Amino acid sequence: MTREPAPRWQRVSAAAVVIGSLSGGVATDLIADAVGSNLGPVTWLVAGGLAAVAGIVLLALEFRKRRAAEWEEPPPPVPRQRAGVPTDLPYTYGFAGRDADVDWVREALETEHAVALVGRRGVGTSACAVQAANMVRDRFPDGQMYLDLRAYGRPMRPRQVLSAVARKLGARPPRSPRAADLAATGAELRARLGERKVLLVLDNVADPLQVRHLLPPAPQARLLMAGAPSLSTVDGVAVRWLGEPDRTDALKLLADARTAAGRRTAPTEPSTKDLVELCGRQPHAIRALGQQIGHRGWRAEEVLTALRHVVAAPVHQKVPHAEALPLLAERDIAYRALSGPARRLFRLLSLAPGPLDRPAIAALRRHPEQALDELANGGFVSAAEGGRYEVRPLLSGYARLHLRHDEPARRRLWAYARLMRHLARQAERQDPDWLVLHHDLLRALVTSSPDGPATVVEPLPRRVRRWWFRLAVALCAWYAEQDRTDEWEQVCHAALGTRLGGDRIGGDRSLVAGWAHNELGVIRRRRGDPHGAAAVLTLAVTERGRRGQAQARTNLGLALLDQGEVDAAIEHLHRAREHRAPGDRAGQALTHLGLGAAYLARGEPTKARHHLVQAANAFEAAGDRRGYAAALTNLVLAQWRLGEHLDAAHAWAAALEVYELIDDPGGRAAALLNAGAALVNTDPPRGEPARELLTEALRLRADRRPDAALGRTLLHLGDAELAVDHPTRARERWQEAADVCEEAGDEEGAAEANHRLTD
Amino acid sequence: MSPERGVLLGETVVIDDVGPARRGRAYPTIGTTTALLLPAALLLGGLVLWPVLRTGHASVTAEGDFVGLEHFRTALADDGWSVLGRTLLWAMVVPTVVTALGFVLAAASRRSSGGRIVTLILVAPIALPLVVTGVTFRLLYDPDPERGTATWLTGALWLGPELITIALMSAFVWAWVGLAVLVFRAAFDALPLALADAVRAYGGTRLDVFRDARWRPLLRRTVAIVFALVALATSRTFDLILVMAPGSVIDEAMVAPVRVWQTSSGTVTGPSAALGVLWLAVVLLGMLAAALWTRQAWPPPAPGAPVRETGSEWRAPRLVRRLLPPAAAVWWAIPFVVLVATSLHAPRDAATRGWWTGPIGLASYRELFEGGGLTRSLALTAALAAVVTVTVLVVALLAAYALAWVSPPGAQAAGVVLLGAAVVPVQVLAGPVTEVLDRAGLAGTFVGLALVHVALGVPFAVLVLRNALADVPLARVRRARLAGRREWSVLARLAPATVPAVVAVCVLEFVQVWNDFVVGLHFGGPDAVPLGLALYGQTRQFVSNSGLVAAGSVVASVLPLLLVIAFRRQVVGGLVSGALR
Repeated sequence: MTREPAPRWQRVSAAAVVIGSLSGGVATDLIADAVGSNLGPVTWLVAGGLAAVAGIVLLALEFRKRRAAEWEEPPPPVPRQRAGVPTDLPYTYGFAGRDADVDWVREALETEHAVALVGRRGVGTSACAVQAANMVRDRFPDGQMYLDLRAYGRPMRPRQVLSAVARKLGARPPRSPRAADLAATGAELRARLGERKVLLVLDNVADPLQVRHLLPPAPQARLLMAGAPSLSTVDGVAVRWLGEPDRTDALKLLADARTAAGRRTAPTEPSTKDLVELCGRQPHAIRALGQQIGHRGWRAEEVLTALRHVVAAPVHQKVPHAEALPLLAERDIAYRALSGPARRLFRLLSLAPGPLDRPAIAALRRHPEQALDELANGGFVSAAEGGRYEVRPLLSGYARLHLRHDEPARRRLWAYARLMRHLARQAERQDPDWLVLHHDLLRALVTSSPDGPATVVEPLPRRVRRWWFRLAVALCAWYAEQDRTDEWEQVCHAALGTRLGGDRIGGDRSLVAGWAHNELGVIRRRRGDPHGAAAVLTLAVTERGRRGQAQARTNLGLALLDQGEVDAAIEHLHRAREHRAPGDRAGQALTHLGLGAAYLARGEPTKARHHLVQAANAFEAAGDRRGYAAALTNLVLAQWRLGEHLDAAHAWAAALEVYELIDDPGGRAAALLNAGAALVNTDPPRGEPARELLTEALRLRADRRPDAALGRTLLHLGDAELAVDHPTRARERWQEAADVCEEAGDEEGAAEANHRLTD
Repeated sequence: MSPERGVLLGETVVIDDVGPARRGRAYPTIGTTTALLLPAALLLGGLVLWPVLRTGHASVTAEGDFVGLEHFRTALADDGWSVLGRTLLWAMVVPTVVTALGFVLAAASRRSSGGRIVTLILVAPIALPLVVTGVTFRLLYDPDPERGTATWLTGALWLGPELITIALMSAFVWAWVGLAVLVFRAAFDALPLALADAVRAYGGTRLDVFRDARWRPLLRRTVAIVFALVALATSRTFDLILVMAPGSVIDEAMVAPVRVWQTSSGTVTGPSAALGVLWLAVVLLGMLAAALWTRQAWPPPAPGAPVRETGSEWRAPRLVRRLLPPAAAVWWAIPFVVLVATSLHAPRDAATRGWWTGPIGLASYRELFEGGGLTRSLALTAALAAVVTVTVLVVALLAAYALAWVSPPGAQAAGVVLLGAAVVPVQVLAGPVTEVLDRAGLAGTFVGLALVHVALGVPFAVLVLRNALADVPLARVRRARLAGRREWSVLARLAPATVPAVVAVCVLEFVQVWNDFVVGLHFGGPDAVPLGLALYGQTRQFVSNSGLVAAGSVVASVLPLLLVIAFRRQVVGGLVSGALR
């Protein structure tokens, strides 16, 4: 076991002693020089002052001691026995529940020679084993022995164990710690026991080596062990894993402890249920809490509220003092038994509301491997899919308590910031697999900040804010690509609701709000609400200031285009284009694409072609295939209207080629429509290929709500049917097209369809 | 395929711009804006702002050394305080009288019979050059009762040391009341009628009606505008004083502009700069007060809104309505009659006898044009006015478009700077501007004179045109932007919408240059003698020349009179809506 480093206060006090003696020496020297050989009033003054300081310090220390002594320990379930000496089996105190486990031990002891109850530290293996042993006392008339293998807080060595047992049974202790001597003593013990019916209860077994030479026991003797999970690796031992007590048992433990501490009538408050869950159902903590509740007359409701506050408050939030916090945090036996690094890692892991992979854990704390193994072996963390780890759900509340109690606020925040930074950078890579795996965690991190239970939420500190925002942006980018508008909207609303503080309130506030409103506007536009989108996007344009308005303005232009306000749309798009930075190629391309579409809607194909060619070139240079294909799709219309039919054919062919490679059904449907329409409108019409393309487009649109594009697809499909000499089917298609276009408000399409029907 | 089937209805694909915030350009049109604003900025910077700074600098230094308030003490030493006080007195008394008279006359002549002719007579003096006004009133106030009608009527020595300031003020009031009448008439027409009914319906007395339905909505602001305009204009008393006051009493009529001119004599001197700085400070403080005072409780009625059935009930008492306008018209017409009658006498008759006696003929006019000097001055002034007007229009239109629709950084601040530049008195700038022109080799030339005129005219023109352009409906601007690719073509498409403002600017600028005397006096040279200066030259021997001077004055007045009367509607609109919005 590694030695844990000295606590912080020890180092501080050592440093204080060194500095104090040095400065004291210097001061003495100076005073001696000043005073000379006669002790004047100054000397007495200094001496009196020093004495007063010493007195105050002593008083303060005494006060602290008394405060610490106020926490009265509840009596342990297994009374303390003499260290390292086998004693008669003690009786348990205040044991409750665990019937199944006790029964299992009783039954196992009949058939098995060695039985072990293993579990996390402090989960109650000792009490359970002693309780079971007591219940089968009668079956071992030749003696029931109890030995605690952890003397003075350290595990006994195998030689010490054998010596203690041998002394009790009158055998010779091993001569040396060598394996042969130990084995000899073990054999002698077995021989001495012979056919005697003896029960040997070994408590707190930390290592199988400690008991290896006691195995197998004599034929009629039984060995009952309680200890660490590593015992399960030993052959010939019946092992049962002991988990935390279930809720009923835990509640009973709490009630018993309250009653024992003085509160006779213990009303069953509903909050106690949550209280035991908050303690991770750790028996020791529950008993201590019950003791204090009974002793001091605390109300469980208030304790729960205070603790919940501590658990749920955001990291940067100050919480009011909760009296029960040190009580609980200092009584987690298993946690206290961990090494320093493991304890810290456990605390910090509670910062994440979901499982983390190893690189993320490494961002919390460097070189976490050893500590992580320790936590995994101790049952603190559980593994999740994708090589990730998280604090066991049962212990998550308790871990937050430890975080609040043991981790200074500043380091807590730094660790949180490191985690955010790592996750934000990782998310910005937009690796789909990683995002799928982590997006619950990320969303919880981004959205949880504002809904603390506190009435006044402190603003997000600057150290965290930046990464929080980048994380939100990266997450929303992924949502946008996946078209998961609901979650996307949720994140944007959370970003709007988050309080941001710090020195540059205005700048950050308007940046975040402008970004969020831009995204919300796009969401509304995608949902088919261009008016709402325009309202939100106008807000975004004003919030983003002069430098940042190009994005929101582009989207505003698109929303206006959806509304049919083509002139206003073109004006906004032009202004957006002017505001783009020269280096922002992708943004330039997006605006050019929008301008091309707007000029097409305005019936100016020459200008549309100009902008679309620019857009296509820029998209190709930036490597954005989706945008490239979209530009080509629109270019088909512009070139066809200008009479450049050959160029249009090249454009749609290239667009369809690109759409084969990417997943964008909406864009592909549009490209198919334009291609099919161009084919069927050439001279002579090529009906067959057009019909294939348009049928495919129709298939892609099948599960969407009917819009103008669907109507136009049907219209041109009718043309194609006519071209392959199916006038009846053509009329059917046209009829459908007229209906759909009228429903979608596309007058042009409806007019064309009706015109064909009347011909 | 038949042509009607050749319709391709496709679908366009657009992509939203989402994701991390990208930084763009804050002022994408900075290059265009600079190009548009550059001419105006150069003119203003070189010929207004720099001279103001130079004056400020000169007021506290002597040959490069800092001397503190020495120059101020010198400037205020003898009768400096009384000069400054007299200037302030001008700026207080004259506007008060003009405002009160204008209010009463506007109310009285409103909807009265013959109101139109009365208005014409009242408005005509605005258009006259102040030099002509000075000549007219000097004829009227001639100390010899044989010739001076006023002296004959009252028996007082109007151009003597005691009454000279009163005489000057009366001339000024005569010239400016017309403007006040026009502005008040416009204000009365815009008064919402329903408001008075509402106040009355709530039991308001006549006082309440006046206060809540007339004074606070509109009249307070109108009064403030008129007051500020006239107060500003009192700085132009310069012309009047130089022409009207005989050399012996000029010290009794001394005001700051004249003193600055006298002490500087065309260069930058410490005391004159100090006086100029003081004067400038007073003017700017007054502007600030006027700006605060002109803030009104609610916005004025939208132009063109169909609420024209206003104000019919707002009438003066019957007796006043009947008698006051004709009386005022007669009273105002007297100086015209005097001037024209004098000019129709032969020079000898005019110098020796009263204007109401003697034979009538065109002898003075004939003599006037004989030398050819006046013809040259007329041609020069006409050319100058035309060139300056066109230049100002072009420069101001470019700058106004930039400020109204391209929104460069600091457009708001530019408005304040322009307002300040529009009210800086010429005399304060004279010395430094002469230095600048000397450096450029343009001092005393036609080009130099034109440049100074342009620089002084641009701020006001930019303000008027900016407001006119900003009032163009957004839809029209959008259409222009969609049709034209460059800012120039957008401006060309918007310009027709601002024709009234352009007309106002042209008329005002042309009349101002034509009527100018101050700029010509300061910056003219032997090669460039504008009309005002030529007339002033003839007033040196006033009595002997009075026939010629009167004839010259009539000739000089005809063109501005016609212009202002023809375009008075646009001029008033431009003044009221543009300059002080």
